[in-house]
Amino acid sequence: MGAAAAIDNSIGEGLGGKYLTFSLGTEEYGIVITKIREIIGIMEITAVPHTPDFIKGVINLRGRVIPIIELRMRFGMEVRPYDERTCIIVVDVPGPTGTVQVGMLVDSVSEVVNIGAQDIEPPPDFGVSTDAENIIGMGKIKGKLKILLDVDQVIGRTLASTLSALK
Amino acid sequence: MAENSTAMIASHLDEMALKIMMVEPGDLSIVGELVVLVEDLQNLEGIEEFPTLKKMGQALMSVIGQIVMNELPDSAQNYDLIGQCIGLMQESYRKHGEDDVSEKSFTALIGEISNASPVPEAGLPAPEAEAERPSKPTVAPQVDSDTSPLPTTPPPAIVSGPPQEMRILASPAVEAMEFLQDLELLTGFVSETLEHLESIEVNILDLEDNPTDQEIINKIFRPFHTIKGVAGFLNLKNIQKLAHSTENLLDDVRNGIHAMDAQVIEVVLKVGDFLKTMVENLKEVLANGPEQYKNYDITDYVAWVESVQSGNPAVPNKPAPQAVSPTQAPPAVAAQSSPVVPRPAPTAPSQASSPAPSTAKTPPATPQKAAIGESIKVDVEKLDSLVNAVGELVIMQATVRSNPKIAVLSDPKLLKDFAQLSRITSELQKTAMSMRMVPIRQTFQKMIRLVRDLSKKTGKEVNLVMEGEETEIDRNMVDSIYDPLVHMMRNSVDHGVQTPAEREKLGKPRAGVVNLRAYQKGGYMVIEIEDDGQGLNTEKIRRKAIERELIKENDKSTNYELNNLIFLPGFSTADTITDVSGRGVGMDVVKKAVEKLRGKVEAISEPGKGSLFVIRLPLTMAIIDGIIVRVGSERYIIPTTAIQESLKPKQESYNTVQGKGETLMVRGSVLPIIRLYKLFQVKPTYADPWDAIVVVVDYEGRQWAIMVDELLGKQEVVIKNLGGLSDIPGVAGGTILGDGRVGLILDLAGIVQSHSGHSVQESQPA
Repeated sequence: MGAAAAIDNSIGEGLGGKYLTFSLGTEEYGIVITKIREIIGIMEITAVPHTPDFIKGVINLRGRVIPIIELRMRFGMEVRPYDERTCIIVVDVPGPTGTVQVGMLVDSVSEVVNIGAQDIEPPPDFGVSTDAENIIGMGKIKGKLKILLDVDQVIGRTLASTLSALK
Repeated sequence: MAENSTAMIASHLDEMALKIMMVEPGDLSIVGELVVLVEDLQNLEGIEEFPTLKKMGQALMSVIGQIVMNELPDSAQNYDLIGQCIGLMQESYRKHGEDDVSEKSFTALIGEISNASPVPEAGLPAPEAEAERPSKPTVAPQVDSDTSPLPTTPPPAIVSGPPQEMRILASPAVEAMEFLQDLELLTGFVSETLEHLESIEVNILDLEDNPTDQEIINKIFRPFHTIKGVAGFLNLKNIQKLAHSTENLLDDVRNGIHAMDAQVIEVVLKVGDFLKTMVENLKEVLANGPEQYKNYDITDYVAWVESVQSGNPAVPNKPAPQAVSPTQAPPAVAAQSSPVVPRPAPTAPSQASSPAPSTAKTPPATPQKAAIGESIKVDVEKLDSLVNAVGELVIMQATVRSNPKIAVLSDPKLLKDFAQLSRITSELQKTAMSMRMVPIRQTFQKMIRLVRDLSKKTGKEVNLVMEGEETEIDRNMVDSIYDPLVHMMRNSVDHGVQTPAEREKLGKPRAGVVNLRAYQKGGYMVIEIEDDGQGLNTEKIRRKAIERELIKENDKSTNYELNNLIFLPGFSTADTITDVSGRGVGMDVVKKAVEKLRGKVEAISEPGKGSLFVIRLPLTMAIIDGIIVRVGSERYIIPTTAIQESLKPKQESYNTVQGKGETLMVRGSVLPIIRLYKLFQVKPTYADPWDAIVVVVDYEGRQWAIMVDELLGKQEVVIKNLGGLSDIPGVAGGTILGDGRVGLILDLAGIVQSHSGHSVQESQPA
């Protein structure tokens, strides 16, 4: 909560830079490129019991086991079958003991764009909706809006709260 | 998010509980670590939900602060009280602050600490503690540093005991710190000196038993000489001077001018501790910059050492400085034949890993000579990445071989080459793994000092007998096992072994025996701590368990099950099992620490005869032998160590109990059935046990039948953690199977617990 407040004050400034954009249904999202490790195609996922639905399971990323979060489910959107455009974006997020890699399952990856600080608006106020915390701002590119996600919040926090719920 | 922060608070409290166990009077560095922990606790997210806890933390911090500032005595008894305070904080956390009993007793305890006598009378025990304190030690004629109240600046003429505190003088300007000129040299000095100090400590303890052994005296003399030399070279004047005066004393001992008596041993131990503090400080300087430097005042110590050397404390005379040119002393250990505490030679195949039973009293020269060998130091990170890469290699090889296009080839040359390749890789894997293994000796040897100090303090006579120090353990586990081991050793000496007088009354020999054993059994490394003391009071445990509603009045638990309740949170050994006051820290911290290492701990006890604590740890954190099973479309690995057999059950042997529990009759015993697919919510191929396969596993002395669809084979697998997903009930980790997919490794403890919701689970307040 404190973190979100801090971000509000610094909106625009320091947020400009390169973003990778991807789509979930009709919505376009963007995440800071520095958080991204790599992008891989969909592969077989091993389910892990006792975890929430949006944790699809784990995959083998060149010898390393990493969890996969299905972003559609995480945002409460309708699930659709995977196709050849379905991608896993591997990101670095803070975990309980240092940085961990986590895969985000998305519909498709679009492009890398440069968004200037002046083109970033503060996140819209949805009243009580807590999911607004996940958004650092709205980027405007050629008249279209990209929802800029705070990866640490969306993925890192989700993972952390999932784990503590298990205890 | 809220659950997360709550869990953080819990683990933080556990950490504090473990830390207070480590605190010894006079060792303010650990107290400092404790302060940091308490401070952190105050700033944890979610602490606001525990106002009581926060208040307690503040009070605790203030008293600890006063101890650090020397406003309150730095005494064992105060630390015991603080330990009890932490216990109460854990209690309050568990009850979510709804129980004001803990808070009241907490306030009372804090009051007791604050009202303790001011510093000069620090040695006097508070009246209520005295009643519990056994009679004065009869064994040790040496000065007891904990109880000898010394003025902070001893008069120059009489120096009869070790100085009480390490005073710090104003630091010199950064430019004056010449030792900072060559950081690489300094780094080497720090790590080598710490090794030297450790070897000194081990040897001096040996010397207590063989006071005339010239070889051991030399082994103590040489490292002091080296430390002095290198410190001089680096212009670390304090360290040089202190090491020098001690070296002089030891030189006299070596030449027969001074006897090797208790006082000398005390000097060497205390000086060793002080040097360690100074070197640790240098380590900090290296890590965090020169402003961390503390200019310790060594004059008291030097005066004390010299007065001991002169043999007559009343007439200290300055020893003539010896002609040793500091620059001649080689900075590297290699050139000296000084005994380095044995490290395993990383490249050499591990020594016999089977436990060759030998007592701790073996001649010290033998094991050290054997272990000196040729060895090199390797960065741990490099080693880990090698082990990981080799793990990948093994998996990749299996993947290539199982590639359908290659699998159909039947060229004899290719098959032969494949066989050769897998021989090489498995050899490579074995070697890489053995590099990570170190003998547990170092950890065990630290216990010698601990038991010595403890028995001195409690007035008990305790013989520590160690066996199997050669047993190897994954180096990643060595550090983590130390704290729980200390806790349990303390327990055995404090609560297990009775005082000499009591023992004589019971017809036991005056001196109690604590056995510390290590050996390998199956895929486990076992550490046993056995004492011949009073044992656990099973009846008291039972009553306490009923009181806490952990079991029912008519519960038919066996003594074994009852004894093992002591590992539950809130089951402090202090007020229930023995009447000796402890630190109020429960055994649950031990259990948690051991379980983190994927091990388990159990207590076996016979009232009046003694207790046996058994810690079972996996040999390595990296590899397990497992059976791969299939359930629906998922594959799981069950560790082989737990498996007794697998069978296809007959329908006649299947029974239900009250329509709920399912059982299977196997060879005359009735086993509960665990349907893995139900527990893990996957779609199985078979829904009836008589179509499926059951794997009979043993967990905590009971057998369970785990129902799976198919057995796929046996394989050694490399354990990986599941990225950020840890602590999933029933899952110990993951591994990469031959086809490149991830398979989950089962954790039987978690499976049995989540299946049965056993009666001994912590009763959660609503």
